[in-house]
Amino acid sequence: MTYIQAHNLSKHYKASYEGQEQTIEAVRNVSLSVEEGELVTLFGPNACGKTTLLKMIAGLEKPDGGGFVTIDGKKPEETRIGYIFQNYSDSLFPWKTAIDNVAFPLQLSGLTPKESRKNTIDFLGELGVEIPIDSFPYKLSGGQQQTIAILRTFNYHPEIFVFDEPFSSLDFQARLEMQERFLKIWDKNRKATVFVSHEIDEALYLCDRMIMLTKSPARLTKILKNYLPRPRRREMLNDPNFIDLRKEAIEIFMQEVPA
Amino acid sequence: MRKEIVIGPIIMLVIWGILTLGGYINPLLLPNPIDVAKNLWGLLSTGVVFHDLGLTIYRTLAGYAFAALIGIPLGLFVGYARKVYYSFEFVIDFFRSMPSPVLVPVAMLFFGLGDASKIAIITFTCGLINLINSMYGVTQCKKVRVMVAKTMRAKPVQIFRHVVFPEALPRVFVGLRLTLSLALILAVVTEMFTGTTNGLGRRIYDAHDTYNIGEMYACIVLIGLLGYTLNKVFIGIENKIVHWNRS
Repeated sequence: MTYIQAHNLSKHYKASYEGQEQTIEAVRNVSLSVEEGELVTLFGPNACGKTTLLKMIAGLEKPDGGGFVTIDGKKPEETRIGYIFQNYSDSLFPWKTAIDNVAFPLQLSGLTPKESRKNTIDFLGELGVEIPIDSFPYKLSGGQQQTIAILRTFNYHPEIFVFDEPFSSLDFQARLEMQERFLKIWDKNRKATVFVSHEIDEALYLCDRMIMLTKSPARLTKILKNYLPRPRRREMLNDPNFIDLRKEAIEIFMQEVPA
Repeated sequence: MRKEIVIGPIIMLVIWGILTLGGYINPLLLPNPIDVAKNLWGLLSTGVVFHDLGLTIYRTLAGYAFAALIGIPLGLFVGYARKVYYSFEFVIDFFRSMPSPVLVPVAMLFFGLGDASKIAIITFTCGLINLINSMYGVTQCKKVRVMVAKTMRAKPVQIFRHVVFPEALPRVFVGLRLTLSLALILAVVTEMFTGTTNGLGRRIYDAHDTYNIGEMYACIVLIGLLGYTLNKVFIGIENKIVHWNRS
């Protein structure tokens, strides 16, 4: 069943460049849909307009006239949206401990700090994820920090998830670990999800479908389907079907994207 | 604390000792360190200085506290209401740029010769500094953090309490640190020039007038130690509260 419906999204910005007012076209006529419980990745080159597209889907930016987004029939503004930002050190609250960061959405809902902490610890137990609960974020590694940011958003129990290149500032090893940790958490909370990535292996490995975008302004070129079963495991990367899929994706990328 | 911290003071005392005990400087201008130490000990052991010391601390901290209680909330408010700030930008900058001792006669006219005029000058001058710093604390808030709270449907009050206020705190503390030193300066200066009969500033002035140079320097050292202690205590508190911004 279609859960997120994005129809004809375009976005122009006004920006001044060398003193001159210019209109920049970030996104052009993108329509896409995400099924209930489906993970769709948006793949495209750096600065192609992926984040703008994501913000429109999440209702943080208004699309130009004619475009609209519905989520389970509602407007994005009427939906609980779990937004995970790229820069974890800017998104976490350094004055709160790890557990209080994760408990933040519960505190907003009116629970006392004690109750929200207790519920959060129960939630972490259900997910089977351990974090250094009493540490402040700035004492932790990048991977641990982004884990906390992701858990905080899951603890909000949103109706959909949108991820804006959450692992792009991590080193290679941390990135692989985070992909596994993310899949483990997501598998227990499968909601319609849009996940932006500029890493083709990451975008393919995580997704049910990968939507390929051109360079700026972002237009839709091709949608690839990943039939690998869930839960995903690293060994599946050697599956002949996956290898073919990756080959196809790179071919499309070479043809379409630089154009 | 590092061991090296004692090296500077020792060198300073040695140079001071050589210059004075070696007869290079007239003792009426600068007595030797032993004389000053004896004077300081005399002031402290007999307790004659405590009344003045207490009054100077009281004026400093009273003005400092009023400046914080008025300046910080106003600054946080204009940080939100930018239009209010722009309307008053000129007024704020005008008074902030003014050397505050010129307000001494005005304060004496309005508040008389007692503590009130001194505290008023400290409050006014330090309050503006707190206002400016608290305002910048709000305007320099990380947009992403506010966005996190907004995407989770936080109410404006919650955004202020959980995000904007803690985000502004490091800057608020910059104001509080600057004004602590400034409050002491202004307390001593106003004690010297507003016809008061007490306070450390007055005691220094009187000692100078009566050629009691040893006592004058003893009081100067005492004020230096007071300023140093206030600052150290403050930095300790600051590092505890805004621990994520430790310098």
